[in-house]
Formats: sequence, C-alpha cells, structure tokens
Amino acid sequence: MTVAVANLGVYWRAIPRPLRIITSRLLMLVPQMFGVMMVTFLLVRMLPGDPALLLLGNMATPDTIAAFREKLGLNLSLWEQFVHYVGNALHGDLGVSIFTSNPVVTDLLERAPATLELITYAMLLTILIGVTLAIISVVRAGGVVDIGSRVYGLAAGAIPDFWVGLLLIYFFFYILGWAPAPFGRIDTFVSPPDTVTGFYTIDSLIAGDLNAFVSSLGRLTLPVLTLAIVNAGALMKMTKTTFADIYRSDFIRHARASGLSEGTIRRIALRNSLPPIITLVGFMFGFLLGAAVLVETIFAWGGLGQYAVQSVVNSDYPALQGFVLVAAAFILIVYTVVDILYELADPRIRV
Amino acid sequence: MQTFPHTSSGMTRRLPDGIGAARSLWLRKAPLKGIFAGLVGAFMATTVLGTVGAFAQDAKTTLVVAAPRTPESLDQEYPPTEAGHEVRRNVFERLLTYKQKKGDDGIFYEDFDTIDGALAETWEVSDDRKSITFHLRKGVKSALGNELNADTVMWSFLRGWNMKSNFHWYMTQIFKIEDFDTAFQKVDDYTVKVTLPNASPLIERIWINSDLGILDSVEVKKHLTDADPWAASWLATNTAAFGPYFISKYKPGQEVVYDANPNYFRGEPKLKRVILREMPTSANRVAAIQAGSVDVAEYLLPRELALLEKAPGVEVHKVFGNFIHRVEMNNAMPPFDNVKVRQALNYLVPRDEILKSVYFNTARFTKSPISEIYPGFTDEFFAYSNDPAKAKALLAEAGFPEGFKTQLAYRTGDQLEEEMAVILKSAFAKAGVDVELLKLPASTLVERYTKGEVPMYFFRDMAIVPDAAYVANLWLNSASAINYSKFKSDEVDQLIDSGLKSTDEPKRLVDMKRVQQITMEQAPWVFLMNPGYQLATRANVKGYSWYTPNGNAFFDLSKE
Repeated sequence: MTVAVANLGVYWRAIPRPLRIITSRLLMLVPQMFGVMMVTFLLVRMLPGDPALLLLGNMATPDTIAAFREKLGLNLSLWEQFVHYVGNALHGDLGVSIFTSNPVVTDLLERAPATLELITYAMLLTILIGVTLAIISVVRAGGVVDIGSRVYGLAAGAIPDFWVGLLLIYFFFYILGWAPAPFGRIDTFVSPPDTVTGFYTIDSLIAGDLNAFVSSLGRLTLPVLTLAIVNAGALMKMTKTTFADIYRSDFIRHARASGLSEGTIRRIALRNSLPPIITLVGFMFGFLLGAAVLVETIFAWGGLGQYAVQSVVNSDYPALQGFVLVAAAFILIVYTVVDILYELADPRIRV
Repeated sequence: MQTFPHTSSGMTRRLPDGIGAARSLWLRKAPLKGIFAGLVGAFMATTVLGTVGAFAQDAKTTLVVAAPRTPESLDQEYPPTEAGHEVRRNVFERLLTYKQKKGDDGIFYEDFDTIDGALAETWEVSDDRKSITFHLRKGVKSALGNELNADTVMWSFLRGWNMKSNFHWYMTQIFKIEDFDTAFQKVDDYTVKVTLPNASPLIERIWINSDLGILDSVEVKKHLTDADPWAASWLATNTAAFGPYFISKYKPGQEVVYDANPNYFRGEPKLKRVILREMPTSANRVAAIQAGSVDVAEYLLPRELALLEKAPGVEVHKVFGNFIHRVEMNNAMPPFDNVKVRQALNYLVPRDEILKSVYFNTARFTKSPISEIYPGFTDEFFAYSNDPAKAKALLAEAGFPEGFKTQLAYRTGDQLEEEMAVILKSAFAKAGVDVELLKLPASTLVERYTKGEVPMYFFRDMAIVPDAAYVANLWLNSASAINYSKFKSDEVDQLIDSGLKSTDEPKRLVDMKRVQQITMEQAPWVFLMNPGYQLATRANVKGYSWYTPNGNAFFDLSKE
C-alpha cells in the first residue's frame, strides 16, 4: 500500500512541472465548479421576483400561475430543485430559458463565442495599444507620445465605455459612413459561416468565405475599438510604471554599459516587466466577460453579458445559473492560464 | 403588461445620407500617421469592403426590422408579450377576422363592427348565442403544403385545451367551458362546432384573437414525443401554421427570419422575407433607420419620434391605440382606501406638462378605464383638471391636511416612467404628499404589487379584445386576478358580470357607460396617458396597418 503510494509519488514527480501544475489545477476545477453551482443556485433563488407573474400578465389566474410554476419546477422544494438541477447538469442539460425558449446550453453556445470573440480581439488591441504606448513614452520620455499618453491615461479612466461606443457610432457610422450599422456580428444579408470555433472571423476563413470574413471583421471594429480605448489606459499606466522602474534599474544599466543594442535592452526590460502585466491582463479578461455588457447592448451583439442582464431582470433562473457557471469556468481557466504564463515568464517563481 | 425597455441615450441628431460619398472620400485620403490611426485605418478599410456587397442585393421584397428584442417563444400558448403577439399576427391564421377599413390618416384599422371569415369562410351563431359553427375554407394550405380541415382545427383546440395556457384561459374564463368533448365537435371534414354552457356576447369576437391560431397539425404531430405530447418544445422554436409567413430562422437575442408562405389563402405576401434584428438601444434603432440600414424601427421614444418626423426619407405612423398607462394605487391600503385621497392625487397631475415634456405630444390623456378606440368608450366623466387647491381641500376632508408619506414604484430601464415619476413626485409634494420613488427590476416590481406590498406603481397594459365589458372585467372586477389595485365596487362587479353574459348589445353599452362613470368617480388609479403606438418606417414602406395586439402585420406592408 505504502509502496504503491510512494510509486505514485515517483510517477507524479516524473511528470514535468508545468504539466503537474495544470493537472492538479484541472482536478481542483471539479469541486470549485460544484461549489459555484450550489452557491449560485441558492443565491439566485433568494433574489426577489417571480417569473410566472411577470409573464402571465392578463392571463394570470391561480390555475395558470400554478401550471406555469409547475412547468418551471418552482413548485418543488429548494432541495429537490437543486438535486434535479445537478442531475440534469451532469447530462449537459442546464434547463430551458424562460425568455428565449431555447435550452440554456444552446443559448450559451451561441452567445459565449460572440462575447469571447469580442473580448479576445479587444484584449489583443488593448495590449498592443497599452504596452506600445507605455514603452514609447518611457523610452522617449518627454516626447509627444509621453505627453499624449499622460492625457489619455487620465481620460481613459474617466470615460464610460457606452459613451465611447456611442461617439464612435456617431462619427464613423452616421457622419462619415465608414463603419457598418451597429447591430450584430455580421451583415444582415451575409449568412454566418458554419460553426467550428464560434469565432466568425476564424470560421469564415476556415470555410473560405471571404465575404463573411470581411463583414464580421467590419462589425468587430467599433466594439473592439471601444473596449480597447477604455481599457488600454489602465494597462498603459501600469506597464509604464513597471517598465520605467526596470528600464532604469541597475541590471539594465549594466547591460547598456556592456554595449548591448538598445533593441535588446528594451526586450530584456519588457521581459522582466511581464509578470504584473500578465496578471492585469488576466484580470481584465475575466472582468470583460461581464463588463462588456453595455458595449454588447449598444452594438446589439447578442453576447453573454446581455443574456445575463436580461435574465436577472426577468428572473430567468435557468439562464442566470447557466451564465454564472460559464463565467466561473471561464475565469477559473483564465486564472489557471495566468498562473502558468506567470511561471513561464519568471523562472524564480515556484508555484 | 410586458413593456419593452426604452433604453436610450442622447444621440439622435439627423445625419446626411451621404454614406457612399464619405466612403470615396476616405479612399482618396492618405492614411494618418501613427500606430493608433494605422490600426483604425486597417479596420476601417476592411469595413468598407465588407458593406459594399451587402447593399448590392435587391431589397424590394426584403424588409429589415429593428426591434428592441426578439420574441421569447414562437408558441401561441406562451404568455402574451408584445414581441410574441407580432409572431402570432404573422405566422398564425385564425378562424375569424375583422374587415379592414382605411382611417383618415391613411392607416388601415380593424372595423370592430364588421366581422369577416378568415380560415372559416362562413359561420353561424345559434339564436341563443350558445353555439357557433365554423364552415372552413377549402383548399387552404400551410407553408409546408398540408391542407386545412376539421381535424387540424380540432387538434389545435385539443392542444390548446391541454396546454392549460392561453386557449384554455379564453375557453374557461370567458366562455366558461368545463368539458372539452361536450364543447368542441367535428361535424364533418370542413365543419366544426363549438358549444358554450351559457350565452356569450363575445362568441364571435374571441376567435379573432391572435392567440387562437390554427396549427398545421400534420406537421406538428411529427414532433410529438412521450415526454412532450403536445410538442411544446418544438413549437417554442418552430412554426407550422396557415398564416402569411413561417419562421425559417429563430435566433433569440439576435434575429428572426420570416419567409413568405407561398400557399397563403389571401395570396402570396408581397414581402418575401422579413428579417427582424434585435437592437436593444433605441438610439441605435433611430440611427439605423435614418441611415437606411433598416426599413422599420419599432418602439422608439417620443423624443426620438419627434426628431424622426422631421427627417427626410423616414415616416412616423402614429396610432392612438389601446394602451392605458396609469399609476395604480392600492385601494385596500390606507390612505388609498379613502376615495378622496385617490381623487386628490388625480387633481394633482400636471397632465399638460407630462404630455409636452415626456411624450412630445405623441400621447393623449386617458379619460376612461376603457381604451378610447374601443366601442362603448366615453370620456364624459373625466373631471380631473390640474387643481392643487381642490386636491388640498379633498385631502383635508380625508383627514390629511398636511399630506402623508408614500411610495411610487416603476421599472428599471423604463425611461418614460422614470421621467413621469419625477414629475409626479414634485406635483404631489404641492399638497404635502411626500413620495419616495422605488426603482425595481420588472419581475420584482410585479411580484411586489401582486402581493399588495407597493402603495403606488406604474402600470401599462392593453386588452386585445375590443369590448368594454371584457376590458373592464380584466382590470376592475374585484374577482379578477389582475385587479392589482384591489378596486372593489359591488355595482361595477355586477354590471361587468351581466355584461359578460348579456347579449342585449344596447343595454351592455349603457351598463359599461355606468361602469366608466363609477370608475372615474372612485378613481382607483391616477389616470395618466394613452401613449399610443408608433412605428417609424422608411418612406418607401407602404400599407401600414394597426391591430389590437400592436404587433406589426408584415403581410399588409410593401416596398416601393
């Protein structure tokens, strides 16, 4: 027995360290997800509001209310409801949304890629803008970019995303007519590509449909810009602080004295500033999943955030629980990835 | 009761229609310097390429509609909502209908005095008004080619009865039917008879309701399962019926695509395809219709409509339909159990100010609990001018010379209600009535006023059956489950009950006039506005028509 355990230990340690971290973290996901499920189930049921009454309107009679509550399973005790829910969830059934009549899984599969595509590109652009501006303003301190970025850093924290979105629509759609109409992920007359990844831009390339690719890329432009403009400010400020410290540190001075080229020095300095940047990017990515809701609403994106808000307002329990599960899973995954990247970026860290 | 959220932001300036010109200007310009501008440029260039193809299609037979939200379900047994009613109007066909008449404003209305056959070519009502026999039109086919006959009608009835929802509600609550088999009979292959236990003045009118469509039972029956014997889950996301359209794509939260039913019995629709896009922000629906990206924009704010009316290429159709927007007071809760308090609040409403600053003159005063467009409506008992002195006197008589503290609830996201709540708060304060405003999510608000926990709340509703007794029964009968204001008058109850049974039409009208008189004197609600129904279309969209459920009928529309 003890030998077997010892043997297991040997096998375990034989696995490369990053793989060990990933495996143990994935195992941790199971109890974490169960905990999330239970807490959200109970919390959602504690919310005020009754979907049956809201929906039935003129048709509300004691009979129709009872029939409707029975249909939703609301007549059972809380504990019975939870057991049903977990049992069904294990079979991949999260219930049927009251306000779309679709299975929640179908809704989420449709909406999650919409939001992920939006925030992934937004994050990439945010990193590009934030990090580039930060490096330029440190390297060319006192230059135009430095001064401009200070103003932008101040403003970006203060302006709300929906306002930026509306301004962009106003100028680029109304006045200039460059951007496409701000509704949805693809032009009304272009059919979306077959789903492979759920990202229209990638799927249309896989399908070889250039028209759909260009249309979906066009639709992404303004919402992605909106999110990037609003969020790049914070990333820029933080990168600037970290990068400036390192750029003036002793080992960089040493590198410069040793005659390394400026390009190499900047690369080394950036590499050493990565850990806090990765943490912030990971945090922002998780945050955007829900925080993109206003931008989604303005651009009629049909994403997760909109779905969540609608389900709260309507007391659509199955939909709300489905959203929280997906959001929790997403954030756990993002944080796991962040930890791994963190370790790769900084070999001193032993998780 | 379900209202669309009127989300909006201040961005409704009119824009030049020069999209094409702006594009070529961009292509001629050299890209700006700098990484940021470069990025914008790259994105924009792809955008330009992307939209060129889209406009190339011939759009004469395709209508694009910008709606605040997609329907919650395609099943007519789903509780009625505005978006759901629109599906029912366009997908389902009913046994009877009203004849159309053109109003002075060029809009087509239902003529409530003339009933016409739809799927039933002719019908007979027995002399005692206890039974109705439908003779079905022959050769009517669904979009899938299945033919209408007595079996499809009977199965539709059977499903409706067993789903225990809308159909069941009308049959049991209005017709008082207790047993399916004695009430519904197939006479022959094209004849169906419905027998009621009592005479009903509504025996014909109910069958016009958009909730009572006939299903293509041949198709629906293919989707029955043991766990789902009435195809509730299939019909929630699919359609099979005899209306002018069927739904070929249902993506909730994104879009719904209607395709024409080539077999429609009135002839194939002129618009072959209708694409309904969800655009939750009303300012963007305005932007889209101004730019010509959509042909129709639904549910805009009064301020936006006022701007669009002046915009070239856009037409705003206005109907003073059946909505009644009011503040309901809990008549069972002190101090609102005192009629003088309720009257006093009605005298404190600055209706002119609300009309001008909230509704931009797109609304009218509500002067009766009955919709102004319905037969039997009268405004002669409305006496509530804006008279704070009189209100103060009434409050003093009621024992509140210094006023009192209370609460007024409205739903989150409803901009109009929020604006009105603020106006009412300051207006009521003139008589010492200190109002705390409660902003609640829709489902919370409904739950709380259903339980009688809120003293005052906004309520916007419409009844789709154009009959005064039917409307009064919903809101004013003390036995009604949705009489949330808990208004109770024995005389009103008795007049309504007789109005639902009596077939003596002149007497019904006299009785309903009396009901309106008592209601206006008793003031169970703070009477506010008839917000009407408005639709913005591009100027080339013709044939706008209005039906009582306020959903748009795409069959009537065409594009020039």
